[in-house]
Amino acid sequence: MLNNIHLDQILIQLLNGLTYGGLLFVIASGFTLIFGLMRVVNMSHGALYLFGAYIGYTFQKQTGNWLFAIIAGTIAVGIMSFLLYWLVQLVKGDLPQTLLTLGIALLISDLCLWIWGGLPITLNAPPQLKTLLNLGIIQFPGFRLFVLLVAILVGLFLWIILYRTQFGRIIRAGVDNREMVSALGINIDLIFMLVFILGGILIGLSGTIGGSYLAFGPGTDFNILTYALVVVVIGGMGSLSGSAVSAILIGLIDSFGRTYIASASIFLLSGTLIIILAFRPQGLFGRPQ
Amino acid sequence: MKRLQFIKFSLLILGTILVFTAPSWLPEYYIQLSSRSLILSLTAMTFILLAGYGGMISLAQMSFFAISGYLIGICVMTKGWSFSLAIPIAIIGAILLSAVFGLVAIRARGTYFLMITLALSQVSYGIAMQWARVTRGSEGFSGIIRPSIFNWSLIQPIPLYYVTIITVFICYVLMRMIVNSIFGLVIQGIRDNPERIAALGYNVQLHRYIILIISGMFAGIAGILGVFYYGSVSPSTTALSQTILVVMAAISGGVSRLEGGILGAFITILIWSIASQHTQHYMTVIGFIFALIIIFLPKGILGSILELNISKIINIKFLHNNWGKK
Repeated sequence: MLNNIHLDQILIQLLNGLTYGGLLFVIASGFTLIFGLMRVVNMSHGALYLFGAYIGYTFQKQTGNWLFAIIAGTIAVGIMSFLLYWLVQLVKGDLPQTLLTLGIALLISDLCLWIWGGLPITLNAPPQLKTLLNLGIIQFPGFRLFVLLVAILVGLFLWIILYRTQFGRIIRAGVDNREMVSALGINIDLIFMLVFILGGILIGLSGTIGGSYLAFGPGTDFNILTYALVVVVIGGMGSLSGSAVSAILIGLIDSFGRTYIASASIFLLSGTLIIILAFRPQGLFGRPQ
Repeated sequence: MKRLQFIKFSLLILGTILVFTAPSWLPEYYIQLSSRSLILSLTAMTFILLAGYGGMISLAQMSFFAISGYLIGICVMTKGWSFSLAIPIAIIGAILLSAVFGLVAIRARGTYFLMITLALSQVSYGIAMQWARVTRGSEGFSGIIRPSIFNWSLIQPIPLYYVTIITVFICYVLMRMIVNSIFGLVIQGIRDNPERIAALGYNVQLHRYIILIISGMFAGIAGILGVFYYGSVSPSTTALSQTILVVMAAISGGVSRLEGGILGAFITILIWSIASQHTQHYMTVIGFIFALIIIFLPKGILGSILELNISKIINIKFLHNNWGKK
């Protein structure tokens, strides 16, 4: 009897961790895509996530349709990302570009506070997604499994694009040697722009999905940037599979940490970060610099 | 060249006189702003020490600033100890934290270094927020009363201003000595060509590690001054919006020299105070100006002026006045 309850709990924590990890993967994927190619740490990542979530919120309030909200938020951040790309192109070098995104992050977050106010809000997923699913021994919220499904689809989509298409081959070649790719007659700037926009679309998607999973408000941008950074740093910078593994790892640590060692989850997170970096400075799946 | 040195020297004397007599001719509000700018200049100089001389852009400087602030808060408010005990503990705390951060970040270069220090600073924000039993959560410590030094109470802004300026000046001189020493030259050599410095027989990683700790220690001293000034410390001390002020001060002044941090800090605080008087959304203004500086003034004001080659301009003027001829 007691054993059973324990197993239930562990199963629920396991699923919680997996779904949260899935969300973290979607959040980090846009970040790692932009970083992997451009070597720009997009510090406005969290702010763009927040912006996408707010746009989704406004659309849901106007139309009442959750799917519209997702699409609107995704497109809006895609457009913002396009603008960000042109701004970033104004300066040379990856470090100044990174610092520029820091300024823009502040600008966007403060504008969000200005437009939408300071109260934490959330997007409402449709009731069909919100029902409890019966999984044999345990019951589990359907929406969380939906998030996990989205994460798997995003991962598959990125994997196919990067490793099974000509576009992906060009991107991967561009990561290694930008000049050579450009010398082959490929418009590398256009490719970079498309990747930047794709990264933005992923941020928008994660913002609206994540905004339906967790409440958002001022300060969310900061948390999201932290999680994206930690996932990418642990997984290995610019590595998609690394991000997936570390997102799930962090999701599980967070979920079990919150249950069994409440209020110490941040120590678990920072401890994991420091230990992994101490032994593998390039991250789990990163190539040595 | 001697003429240039003479000009520099007289500027220094003039500056010192202006700075030390400032409380007699400046309104108190501006004295407070100056104290703030001085604290920011010290933090910005620790950033420049790493970024301009060591080639390492560290976004974790505010964590060292915050930890010494927190240690003062814990020692004085929670434990009820005296400042003479709390201040050394705070400095040691900043040194230890930078030693830990350094161990993790030291092996990374360039953007990677920036990213890891950012992650560490975000994590320290999280710890300050969540470890409520010790850090008092999102409230942090407030109402920390300033101490007296030799029966001279720092509660009034003017004594505080003097303590701040003397501390910042001493730290500046020490940092100048460090960057001009052999150790500092090795650091600059590592920035330009680590392989060559390694080939000369220097331990590259050890040098980078030591400069990181030195910079963390000075940021900790700035944190103590910060606690004196604000009387409070909270998780937002190490938030991104504070880090951006440090980076803005360093970059607007110019990261090629320590002095850029001082110039930039005064400009940043001036912009901040004007913006915050006029709008509640001053962070939008700060973010916007920060972006403009990165785009149009990447070398900073001091860096751009130095590029104009002052000695030539002065020489030309002197020739016109026929002073330059023997």
